[in-house]
Amino acid sequence: METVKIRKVIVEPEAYNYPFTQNVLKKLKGIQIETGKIFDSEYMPYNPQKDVLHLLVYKGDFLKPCPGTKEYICCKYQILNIAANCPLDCSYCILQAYFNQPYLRVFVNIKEGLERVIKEIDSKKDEILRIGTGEFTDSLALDPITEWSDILVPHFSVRKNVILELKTKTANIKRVLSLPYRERIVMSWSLNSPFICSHEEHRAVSLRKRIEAAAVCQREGFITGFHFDPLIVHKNWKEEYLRTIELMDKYLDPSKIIWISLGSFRYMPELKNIILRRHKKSIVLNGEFIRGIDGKMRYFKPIRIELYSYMYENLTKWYNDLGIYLCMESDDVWSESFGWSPKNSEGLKKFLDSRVVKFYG
Amino acid sequence: MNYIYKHIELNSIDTEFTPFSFSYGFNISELVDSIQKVGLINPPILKKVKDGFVLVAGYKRILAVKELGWKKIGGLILSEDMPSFNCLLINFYDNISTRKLNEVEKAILISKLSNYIKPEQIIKDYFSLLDLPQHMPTYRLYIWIATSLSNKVKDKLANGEISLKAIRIMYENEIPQEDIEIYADFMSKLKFNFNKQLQLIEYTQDICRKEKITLKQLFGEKEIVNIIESKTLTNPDKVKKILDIFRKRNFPELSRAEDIFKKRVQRLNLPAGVELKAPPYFESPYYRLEISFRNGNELKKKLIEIANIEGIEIVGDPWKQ
Repeated sequence: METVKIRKVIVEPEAYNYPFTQNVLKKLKGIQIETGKIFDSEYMPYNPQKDVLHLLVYKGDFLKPCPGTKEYICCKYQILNIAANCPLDCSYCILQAYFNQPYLRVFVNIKEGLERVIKEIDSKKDEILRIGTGEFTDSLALDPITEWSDILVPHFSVRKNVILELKTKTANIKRVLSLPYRERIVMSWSLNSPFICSHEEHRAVSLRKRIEAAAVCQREGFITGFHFDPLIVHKNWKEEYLRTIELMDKYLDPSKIIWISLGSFRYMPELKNIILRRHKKSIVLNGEFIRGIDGKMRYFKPIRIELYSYMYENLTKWYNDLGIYLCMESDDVWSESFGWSPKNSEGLKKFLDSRVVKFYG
Repeated sequence: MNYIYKHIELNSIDTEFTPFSFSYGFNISELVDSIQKVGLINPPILKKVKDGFVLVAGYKRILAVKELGWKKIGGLILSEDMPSFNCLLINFYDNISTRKLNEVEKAILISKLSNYIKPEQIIKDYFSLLDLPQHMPTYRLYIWIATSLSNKVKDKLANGEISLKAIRIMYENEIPQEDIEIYADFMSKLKFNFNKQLQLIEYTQDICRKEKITLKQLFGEKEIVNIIESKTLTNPDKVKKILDIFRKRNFPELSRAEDIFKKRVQRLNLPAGVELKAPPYFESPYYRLEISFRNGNELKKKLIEIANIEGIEIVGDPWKQ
């Protein structure tokens, strides 16, 4: 999958004259274009219209802290907010319930926003900032149309107090590879078991293609990251996840992995109905979910510990310096799963910052 | 609005074709009794049509006086050219000024309004009068109630045997009509309270999905049938037992952990007035000890007693040895 299928583009009037908009429209020649303001009185979460590209001027902050909750240990990641909604259609995706507007919303004032972000980064010289674009959208799925990597990579690669993580479930690496930058750009893939990848991660490329793309990036001089999030309990999950680790072993150089995150499937209660209606064959809800301290549904604690321990043990068997960490978990789950804990969010930030220093100095 | 008061033959009023009525799930015996005692205080409103009258407001009054054997009735007559939408509004305002509509009546009314005006207009102008939140999903829910629910289920909703919340969940989960009827029968038979109705739907939907069985199969299982047919259990006992079974089936690991914890605590033989509680779902690592005491001396005594309980160290996450 090189490009996602776009059926229609909606351009808000104030977004029309931006060079970013003109560039996108040039790439989407022949596709229906509508100009107008969207007054959507009602968002239909059951019909997100992922084939409509909505170009607009974003009025909010481009750099935002990851919306972690204080009840669990958070890695203090920063989100570079360049778009909202994702062209891929993973059944478990939290964005289905997180956003209240449809369409692939892409912010055309990215260059202006980026200027402000760079100023902020430069004002925090003593801090390491881990920034990513892959939280509210896939970092590379729209790259052939938006050329985000061309816009972002040159700014981040030359700064010493920041890394930019491009997280994807695609193999759209062409543009990034064509750039002369490698420093401080972490190319990351979301991975899962072969079954979950093929059964639940609609429109994403196969697991093998993701790992092959990661291997190409490693050979081309990039440091890589991986995210097993969400880990999902399913039939033969142990064997299934082992197959993924075996594939990683076959294609990847583990010494070029900066971190691997693990997170078990969790969801806002509102997501359940959306999944049931939009993804009727999905098995992601077939677990034993309880309401966590943050109000989100998550697997009963010993089940999570079993998932994490198993992954930790097998990943560490492969290579014992992978920077494995847990996303949104408690101190006791850390300790029981890994045998150590960063204790709190500050501790986890320090751990991940140390990985940045190890790989980039 | 011009009305003419007139006495007319009861059989000239069409009680089969009632395009402006939305009364549902009513009982006219009280009204019959009242008319018998004090007569008909408010005359019905009727619209003249070619060969008689169509009822605009007062459906129940007409049925009541028919039951009383009246042959004639005094009514307020609207002219033939009165627009249908206005007739519907007359009935609406006539009703909401005197009573609260039940959920099925609201649904029928909204559905009838939708024949004349757009959904947005209905939401804006009428939802607050019906005590409904002004948004489109609510509109869709009520249209679905009016047009898709069977009369059997509508009856149970109108008379309060099934809650609107339960109906809403069934609608949002796209539960098939056949299963909605099964739920309606099950809930009304055992008299599930509203909260337990929601639990029943949640547990059973999850079980059916996970185990790939139908609701009919699940409710037909011997264990469940035996409880329903038990002559010794009360309805609340039956509801509790059934929900316990479904909960355990849905949360096997959690239920096991709860059982182990309970047994461990029982074995400790805690002093009277001392309670040891697990965190909800064992999610937090912190357990709670509650001690009731009358004074410092009693507290001290109980604390020493607790500290000396043999095996107290075993308190903790049940999945650990």
